[in-house]
Amino acid sequence: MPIDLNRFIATFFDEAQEHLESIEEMAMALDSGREDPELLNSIFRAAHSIKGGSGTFGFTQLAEATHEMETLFDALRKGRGRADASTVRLLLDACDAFKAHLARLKAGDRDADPAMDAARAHLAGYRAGAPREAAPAKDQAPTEESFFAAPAAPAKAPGEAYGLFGGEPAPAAPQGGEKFGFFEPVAGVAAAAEAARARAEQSSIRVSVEKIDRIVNLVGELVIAQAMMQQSVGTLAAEHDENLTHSLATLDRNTRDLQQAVMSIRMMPMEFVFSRFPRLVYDLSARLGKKVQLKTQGHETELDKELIELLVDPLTHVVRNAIDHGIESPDERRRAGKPESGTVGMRATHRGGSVIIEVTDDGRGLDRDRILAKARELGMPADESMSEDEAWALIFEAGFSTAREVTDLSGRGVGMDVVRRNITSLGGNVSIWSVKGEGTTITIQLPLTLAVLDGMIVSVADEQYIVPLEFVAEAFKPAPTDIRTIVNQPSLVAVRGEQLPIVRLEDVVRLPASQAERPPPLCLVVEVDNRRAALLVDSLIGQQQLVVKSLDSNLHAVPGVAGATILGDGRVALILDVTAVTRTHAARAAAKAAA
Amino acid sequence: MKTILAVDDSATMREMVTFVLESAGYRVIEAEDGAQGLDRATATNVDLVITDQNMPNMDGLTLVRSLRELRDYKSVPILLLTTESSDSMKSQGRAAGATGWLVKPFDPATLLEVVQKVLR
Repeated sequence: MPIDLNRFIATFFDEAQEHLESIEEMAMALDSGREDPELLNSIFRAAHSIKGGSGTFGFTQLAEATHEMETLFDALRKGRGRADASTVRLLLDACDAFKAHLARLKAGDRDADPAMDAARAHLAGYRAGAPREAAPAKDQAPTEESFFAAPAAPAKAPGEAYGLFGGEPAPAAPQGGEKFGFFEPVAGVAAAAEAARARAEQSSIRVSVEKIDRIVNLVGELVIAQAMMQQSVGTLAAEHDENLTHSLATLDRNTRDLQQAVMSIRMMPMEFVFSRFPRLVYDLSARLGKKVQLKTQGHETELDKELIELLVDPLTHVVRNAIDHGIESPDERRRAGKPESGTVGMRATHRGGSVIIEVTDDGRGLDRDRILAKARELGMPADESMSEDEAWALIFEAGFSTAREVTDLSGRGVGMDVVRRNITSLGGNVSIWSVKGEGTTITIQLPLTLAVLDGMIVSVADEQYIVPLEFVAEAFKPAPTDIRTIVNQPSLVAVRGEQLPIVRLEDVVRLPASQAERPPPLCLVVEVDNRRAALLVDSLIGQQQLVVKSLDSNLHAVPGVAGATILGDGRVALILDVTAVTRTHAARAAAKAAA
Repeated sequence: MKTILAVDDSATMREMVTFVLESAGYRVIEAEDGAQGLDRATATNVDLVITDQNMPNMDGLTLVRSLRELRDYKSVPILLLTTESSDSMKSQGRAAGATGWLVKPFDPATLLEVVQKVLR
């Protein structure tokens, strides 16, 4: 029966990737001075596992290089030699090479990879105590002991300690053609338990994202169909048929439960994001000559897979900033009476329907005077009377960067504005809080998922639109005297003494001017990034949880529109991109002011 | 139908062993390390155990020794998956009470050949 091993390759790639990530993590734990023999053991085992799989699929270079890593850690776990900072560097560099090699293999590139030869030579050279440039050949007599020691083998006496650094049997199949064997003649050894046995339950299964997304989509359609049915027969049933009313209520509840259960499949723990940061912090602080400890909290906090992926870039930027600009050099910290080692914290928690991610540092904090000076220099409106919040908010403006020297690490003034744009495009917001000399906290708030949304349904000229509820601050009917008209257009409305710019919804969606009689308008106050505006609508229909349909994938991107949904009566309603709405208005206002 | 317990901390290996053996009509139970293997083996009587050597929590040799102490597993065949066929591996495997050994990486045909031999 011919079996194609290639069907298992995907599993191997995933597994190897996981092992490499755990090796990285353990390597950094080694550096933190933990004297934990289990760490050395675990690194040994992870290298061993990758080697085994590589051999199976004929990935010789990976098998040979992981063999060197395994041999090195076999020696270390047996007390021959000690791991130090150079070992950590060696491991991290090797992991980089292995990861790049894995990516090549994944892409189907089976050509010899010179980087892997170098990585193997480094590992072997390190093992031999030779300079890392040297690439010693594996030519010594094979010794078996280190490979297959009994589990509790005592450490070798120091005199023998270096004997094994020389060489090991090749990682590929053994010489001599012996592939298996028996310790005794096989005869009737099998136990006879033939009863029907339940297959052991498995803790998890791997499913492709496409399959899950199809289910999410189908359930979305089901929710819509259910809402349509509720709307068309609900009132009828309430009047005539108690049973039908009851069934409809059950269907409604089950549909919601099903939707929640399906959405939860897409949820992934923050662990997936956090796990990338120890390496970043390690490399960055080493490069900058700073001492930084990373503390993460809330690994189990779950977030939609799509958001998780989109969160990595902005968070990377924030953490880089914290280390590059926030945390001081050990000298400076000592002079300020702080511990030499700074701390960067990352914490994820659930709050209501949102996920809150905080990045804190105990560095020098933001410098209000410098921020204000810089803002004035850039021609931004800034003065001494600004509150701290307003001053901190300036660093989210485009082109703002106060770092005296631009480093290649934190970018060139394209920092925090990009972070804010990324986060708001995900339906979230960013805020900052800082105390000079004590540190800075960046707080990111995100919705749990992008696939469903709580929306306010509003109408204008017989059309219905959705305003995401998270942006709605309040709604009210303005008195005619509250509205200030400029050039025949209502332009400002007074809300408790504050003048808010008026944005007419029909302008945003470019409805043709209608002659029909319209009710007196309602004001919906929306707020994004501390920018408030009053959206003028005809009426509020109600609040509802909605399934978001992307316009980009079904049609094309439309400015001012974030997506679409299907309402209970089967009509398509557009979801407003409130960020764009307030920004275009602000842009227009700024242009007018400049003119 | 014979039931085989496959113990390996590598998901790739488990998936391969399971696929090959299930394709040949065996029932396969998986375990991710020696400790879980011991649990599974005590919960269900199996006809053959195939175990990796290097695993977290409990390694293969310890699993073999622990199984041999159980009344139900005195004579159940146990195969060790190993990366080499050295004399020291053989003596340790034999001393622990394993039935035989199989060198990784192996091809599916070899695995089936060994399994069919020990299960008659």
